[in-house]
Amino acid sequence: VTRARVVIADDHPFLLDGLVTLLKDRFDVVATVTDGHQLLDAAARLRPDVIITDISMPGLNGLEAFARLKAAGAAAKVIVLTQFADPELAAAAMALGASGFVVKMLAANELIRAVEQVLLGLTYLSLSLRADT
Amino acid sequence: MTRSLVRPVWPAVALVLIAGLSTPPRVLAQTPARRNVLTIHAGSEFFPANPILDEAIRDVLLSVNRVPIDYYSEYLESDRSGEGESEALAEYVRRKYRDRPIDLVIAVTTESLDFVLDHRETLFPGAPVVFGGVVAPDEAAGLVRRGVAVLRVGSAYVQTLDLALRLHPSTERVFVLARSPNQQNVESARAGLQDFARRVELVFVDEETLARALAVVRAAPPRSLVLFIWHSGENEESLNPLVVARSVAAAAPVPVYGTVDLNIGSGIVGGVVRGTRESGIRLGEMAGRILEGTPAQDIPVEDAALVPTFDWRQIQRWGIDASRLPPESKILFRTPTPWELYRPYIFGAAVVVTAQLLAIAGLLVQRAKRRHAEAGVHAREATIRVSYQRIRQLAGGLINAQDVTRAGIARDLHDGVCQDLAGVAIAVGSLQRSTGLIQDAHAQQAFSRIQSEVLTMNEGIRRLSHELHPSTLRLVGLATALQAHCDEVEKRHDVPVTFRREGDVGDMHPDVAECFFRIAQESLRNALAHGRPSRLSVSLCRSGDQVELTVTDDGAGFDLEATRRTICGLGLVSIEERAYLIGADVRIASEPGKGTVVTVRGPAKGAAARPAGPVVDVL
Repeated sequence: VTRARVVIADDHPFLLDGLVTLLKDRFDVVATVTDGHQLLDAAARLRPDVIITDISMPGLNGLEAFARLKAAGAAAKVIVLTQFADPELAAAAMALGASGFVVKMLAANELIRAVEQVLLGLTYLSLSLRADT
Repeated sequence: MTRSLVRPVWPAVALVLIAGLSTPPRVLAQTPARRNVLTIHAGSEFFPANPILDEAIRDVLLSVNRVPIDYYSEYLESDRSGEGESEALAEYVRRKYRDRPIDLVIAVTTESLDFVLDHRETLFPGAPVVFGGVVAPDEAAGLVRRGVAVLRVGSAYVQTLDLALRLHPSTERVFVLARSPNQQNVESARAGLQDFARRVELVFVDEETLARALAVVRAAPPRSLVLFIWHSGENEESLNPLVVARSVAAAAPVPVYGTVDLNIGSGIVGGVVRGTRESGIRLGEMAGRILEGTPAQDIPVEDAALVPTFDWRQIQRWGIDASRLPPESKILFRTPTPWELYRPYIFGAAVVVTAQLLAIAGLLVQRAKRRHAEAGVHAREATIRVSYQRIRQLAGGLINAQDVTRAGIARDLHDGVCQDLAGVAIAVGSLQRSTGLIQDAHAQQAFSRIQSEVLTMNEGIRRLSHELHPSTLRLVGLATALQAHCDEVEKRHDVPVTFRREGDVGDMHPDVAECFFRIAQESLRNALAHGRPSRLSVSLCRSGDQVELTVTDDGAGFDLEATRRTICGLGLVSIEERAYLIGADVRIASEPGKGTVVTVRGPAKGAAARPAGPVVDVL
């Protein structure tokens, strides 16, 4: 069984470390990047199956990088990982073609399942968001 | 022509007078005896001077004298009567006054005097005589001895010509009209004027007729004068002197001067003359004295007064400077000036106009004052408007600053604390899922990182809280809090910040301490935000009741006034307002390129609560 290849983008190093620790047992984390431009570069070079990206990052933010990836015809599924459960932001991300939307505080519980779901072609919305809506 | 009119008068007058004689005089026993006074004139009754003389003599005798008087006049008309007719008149007088003995005779002119003296014994026996006429002084003395009181009259041609030449200094020639049947008079006139021949050319006009004399006068060249004394042509004896004077004045292209007052008005300029009426009055007075008892021999010889007299119209016509006339001059026919005519009206109008001008001036002054006051009000309104605008700007700035602060706090929370918390949550989640023992190396590493992260987080929160409010201030005091703040700023911005204290600053009112801390904080923040300083220093000094805080930087500095006008001045305003609230004074010294010094000095125990600052006041 080939493991899914994942790229993670977040400007917070401690968080990035935690995410890698969380995901490395189940998926191949092929790259971690800290801004949008690095993300575009990594996506083009490594062609990951899933991209997990924060929204607020220096340089190119997550949503902008995401829009460019889609425009470039990248096949990777995208999960938006964000600070707070904001339905508007989630709606905007999904409208752009994101497959998943996960709140950071719940990442330990939700992110693995979110990656598995999007790999199956499903969408994943954070539980807190679903409870709100 | 005059002759034909006058001739028939004589018989008529005689008839009337004779008719009057047939009535006997009414004499009342109780009243003093009436006295009869007779005046003998040489010329006719119509000779211009005669009625005036008669009237003057009669006025004096009838009004002044206590003695009742009957006054009579007779006219020799010597100019037209021959030698024989003198006898006829004498006979006429003798018969006329047969029942009215004459008590006093007044003789006017030499001809009359000759007649009176010739017939004195027969007509006026014992009657004193008063004489008015031309007579030499020695002759006059002889007359007085004969009981004749003398008033010397006659033409003052010398004085007249002298005055005329003074008024017309450029005169070169004088035409003298002095023709008379009395050759003696003519000779004496010529002799009297002879002295003037040295100054001007004298031309004696001796034409036989008036017409020819006028022709000579008419041809008078410029720079000449005419002196009209009298004129009597051949067979023209009865010419009225006034008519002659008028003709001469009309004909002459140059000024005409005369010697007879009655001629002034006929066109001549004037002359030094004896007043006809005044002479009559003097004759009357002399007669009165004699009638009251003074012997005629005791009355001194008198000269009738000479008066320079002028016709104002001629003065104007010939452009003579009136100020050069002798001061005692008598001016006739003077046209009153508009000022003389309308003085009360002009004065009244001037008063009214002045009053109106004053009223207008008053109104103008009042209006100017009002405008000035209005301008003051407008200026104050403008100032208030500007203040209001500035307050709105500041209010906007405050709101903006608040938003910025909130955004900063939100960012600190979001990017710092929350991320850290999320990291901790993920790390904890990962540990939860890990399969190994808690003592495993990787688990221990994760715990260490979590612990470190939580400590960092705590420091961030503490700093944020401190920025929001220096809670330590109340616990550790202003000096310690400032020292800590300086250290932190130095660490965070990598700029040396020195702190110095002098005196005991521990005993301060908490509000004052907070205010000083805030001002120090704000000053350091401003310096770092705008000045890029290479070093900063804060000092806190206590002397007596006063505490002084000084914050100095060596940064870019700024234009105080320009900054104050912009929204960037908010920091300055907040410093000033804070100081105002505790009764402290702020001094900010800054110039572009020379750094900034902020000094605050105020009472350590704080001032009595001040009212809200001026800004609030205006709002």
